[in-house]
Amino acid sequence: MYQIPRNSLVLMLVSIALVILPHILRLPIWVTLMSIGCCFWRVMVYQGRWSFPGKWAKTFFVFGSFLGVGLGYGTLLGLEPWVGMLIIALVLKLLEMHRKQDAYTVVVLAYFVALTEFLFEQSIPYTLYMYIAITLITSALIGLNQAEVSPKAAIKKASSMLAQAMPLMILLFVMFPRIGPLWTVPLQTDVARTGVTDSMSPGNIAELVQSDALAFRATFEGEVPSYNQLYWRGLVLSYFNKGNQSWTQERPGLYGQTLQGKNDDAPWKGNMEYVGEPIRYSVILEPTNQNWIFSLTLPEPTDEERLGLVRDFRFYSFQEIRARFQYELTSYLDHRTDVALTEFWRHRYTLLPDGDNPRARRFGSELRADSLSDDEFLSRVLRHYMTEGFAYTLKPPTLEGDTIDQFLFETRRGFCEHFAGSFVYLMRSGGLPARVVVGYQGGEFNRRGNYVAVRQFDAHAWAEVWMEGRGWIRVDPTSVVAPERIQEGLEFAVEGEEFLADVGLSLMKFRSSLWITELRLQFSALNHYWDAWVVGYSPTMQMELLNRYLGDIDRKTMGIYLIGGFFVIFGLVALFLLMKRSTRKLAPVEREYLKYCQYLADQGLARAVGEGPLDYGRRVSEARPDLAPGIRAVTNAYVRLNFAEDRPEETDLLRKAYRNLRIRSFA
Amino acid sequence: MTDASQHDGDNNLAEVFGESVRSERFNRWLNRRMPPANSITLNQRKVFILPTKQGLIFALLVSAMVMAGINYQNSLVFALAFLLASLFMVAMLHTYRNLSGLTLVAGSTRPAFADEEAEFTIVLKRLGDRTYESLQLGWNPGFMGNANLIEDEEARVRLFVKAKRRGRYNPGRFLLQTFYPLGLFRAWSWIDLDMHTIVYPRPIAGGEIPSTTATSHEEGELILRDGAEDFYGLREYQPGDAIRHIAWRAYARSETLMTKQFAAYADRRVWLEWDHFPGMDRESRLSRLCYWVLQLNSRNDEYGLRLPGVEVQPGRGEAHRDAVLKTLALFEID
Repeated sequence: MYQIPRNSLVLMLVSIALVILPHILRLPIWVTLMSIGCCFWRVMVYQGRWSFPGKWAKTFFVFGSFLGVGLGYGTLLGLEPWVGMLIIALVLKLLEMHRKQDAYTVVVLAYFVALTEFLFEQSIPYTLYMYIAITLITSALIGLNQAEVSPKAAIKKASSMLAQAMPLMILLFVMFPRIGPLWTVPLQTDVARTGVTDSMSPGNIAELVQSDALAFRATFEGEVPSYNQLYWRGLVLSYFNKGNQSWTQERPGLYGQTLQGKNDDAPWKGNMEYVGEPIRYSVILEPTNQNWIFSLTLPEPTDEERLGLVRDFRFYSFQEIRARFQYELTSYLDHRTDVALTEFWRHRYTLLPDGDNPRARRFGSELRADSLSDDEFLSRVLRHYMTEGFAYTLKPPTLEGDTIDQFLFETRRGFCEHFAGSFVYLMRSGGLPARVVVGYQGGEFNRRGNYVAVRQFDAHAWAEVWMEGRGWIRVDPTSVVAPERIQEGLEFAVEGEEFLADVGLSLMKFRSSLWITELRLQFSALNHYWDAWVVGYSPTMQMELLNRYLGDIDRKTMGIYLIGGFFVIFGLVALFLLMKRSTRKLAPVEREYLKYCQYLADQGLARAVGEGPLDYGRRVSEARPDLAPGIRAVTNAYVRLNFAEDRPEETDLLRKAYRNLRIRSFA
Repeated sequence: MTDASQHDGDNNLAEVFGESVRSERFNRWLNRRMPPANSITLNQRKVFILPTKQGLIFALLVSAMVMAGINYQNSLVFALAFLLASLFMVAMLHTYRNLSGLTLVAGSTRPAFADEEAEFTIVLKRLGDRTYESLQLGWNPGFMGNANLIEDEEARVRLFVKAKRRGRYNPGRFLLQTFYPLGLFRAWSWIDLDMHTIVYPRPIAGGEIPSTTATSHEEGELILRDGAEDFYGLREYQPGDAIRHIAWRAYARSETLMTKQFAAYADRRVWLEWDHFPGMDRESRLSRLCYWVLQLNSRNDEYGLRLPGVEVQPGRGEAHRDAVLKTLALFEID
């Protein structure tokens, strides 16, 4: 029976532990226990104390554990159950290593488990960790083919081989043609929905801003717009729900056609007028498991397949954002939209449910009647917020019943959603088309990475009001109550209240400490580059990058570059590996003598193992009498220099003798 | 020094993967490409390399990983797949490097009796600082010798080849191969160090030689003889001893094969003659002569050999025995 070398077994068990470890939290506990049990069993088998499980036991384990996975996850189709089954196959195969072939199977499975890790995590620390795991798996593979040498030697060999593989890997990573998915695959299932939602009722954004998690990062091509311009539109909520007093989206059917692609046409395309300078930026959105896409107003349609521009001028992703998603947009901060609003939309945007919030409704309509124009009405409402003792707070009192009435006339303490929601309600009461916009406002500019990082605590809600002849304009009622929120950020607006109270230890709490901030920004910048250039390296990015450096090339030329580069790099690595390196320094005398031996060996007269120089000289002279004098001269010089006299510096003597020998043999 | 395990099957090595695997044409091509020589340094002309079955499975794994990268649109999955693909290529270089530059030199040989195993010593040497690990070499795929050149400058590997016929024996090309470091590639070479050894006839007990006829106890010297009646003692087993004389009980005790010896008395000088075995063919006669050479030598007798056209003067000792056996081995061969 095949007995796996001890070194290899040790390395194999360690690397299996390493590749399973990050999965532990995702796995049912019994899979972990079973893995530990199988490793232990294998060690016992190695020590000769236990024997391999029998055929029936193995069958039972296989079917039992697959059944267990199926029951545990409720399905066998899905990423998590697959990973579970892969890990079970790996540890069970440990108990079936009867032949060398089986040991290879274990290694191959271990590599594959390592791969599944990246489907869940792609951060820098995880990647480094997985690199170590890959090194150990490779050294286990070396251990299978190595004479008994220490595991250290195998690890060293694996590390150097992987380092030598790096240049080719980088070439393939950059140049290998990236294509879209060939078929759909199950993705991670247990992702929680994060970020803003499509329903806004008082209190839910205040909850959201208790998190410092990253929402997205945006890199601008030119200068970053000023902080108070960074209104990241995500959702437009224009329907007020009487039952739960919440703002929600319009029914999708009402929007009509969405714009997909720059050249797509829709009847409302002309309602967007771009004025002023374009702003180009690229966004890396963290997974939200939702469809919202954040953009500055007013964006141009994009050719990105997954995105469509909706009637209310914001983007929508046709698939839920399950993994980090990168998109590029162009927006115009100066713009005009819906200069003419149809009767239908005018009706929708002034719609209020029957009979709720009577005080607010009366207040709005009376104020409008009192005002000479829509403009005056709007500024009087804003002045109301400013002068009537409204306060901006992270901990607004709970509202019940007619929440808008309660907020406007009783509690007067609220967060952005209170202000935006009640403001739109008042506008509509006065007959002005208005809607709530939810998204993020602001973000932290990272100088090192030249990007803006937007976090969950930047979540915000504001309003858009339609004015005759001007179209939709943005009005942020929060800005009149707490201007610091819009100018500088949340923690300046809520001074005195605890910022990020529910988050344990967060570096974001120390935004006032300079060096912590500096460190944090450095690390964030590194992460950003990693996410933008490595994790986010997409087919579009590939084409752009290659076009930038190799000119306008098609797929075929790219293939030629790839193959050419492959051979060049492979040749260089081969040269590096196979070059004769004489790091072993020989004394000059020895070097000369070896040259002479090699020269004779080339003529079929190799020096025998252990043959002394004198014996060798005699034997060679007999075989080649023509060279005898030269051979004698070389031998004598060598012996004299080496043994008789202590004058190794006079190697010229030997060199000359050897040269003479060669000249003679040519003659 | 490393020993290759002796093999006990009767498949001649050259036949197992010599003639059967290598066609005549391939052999001629090999001979042109790397003619037999006592010392061979491996280079790209002499080393062949191909992926192993494990290598192909590994390549399949990498393709599966690329597929996963495409379907999940996951850059790090791509990165891992490409890292392993590059590792595969680098492994090829390392496996090739594990043979190239290695020097093989013909070492000593030890003659054998026909149907037994001749021993060949191969010396592996390295020049420079390159190390060689997990080299396998031999004539028989089932019983390969192993060698490493990590700290040592040279290694000696003893290989055993079953010799079929008496005469001068050249075992032909042996296989040198390595799977190091990852087992994904196999680099190999067929090497002929132009080694020869002598194969003696197979000793067969039997026949009588006149001068060994028993005389009286007083006159002759004590000789040990197969046909005799009197048990004389035990001695170590020699090839050719009759199996029925093996002292199995002694073997069970000491695990060395001992032969029971039977005694008679004889003249001291013996001539081994072709004509002692009338009616037999050449090989049978040589086999019996061979047997008697061993017998006479073991009791330190003085003996000579007379074959048609060849004569070896009587003598004794190991050197004399080897000379006589060599005469038998090469009789009417060349």
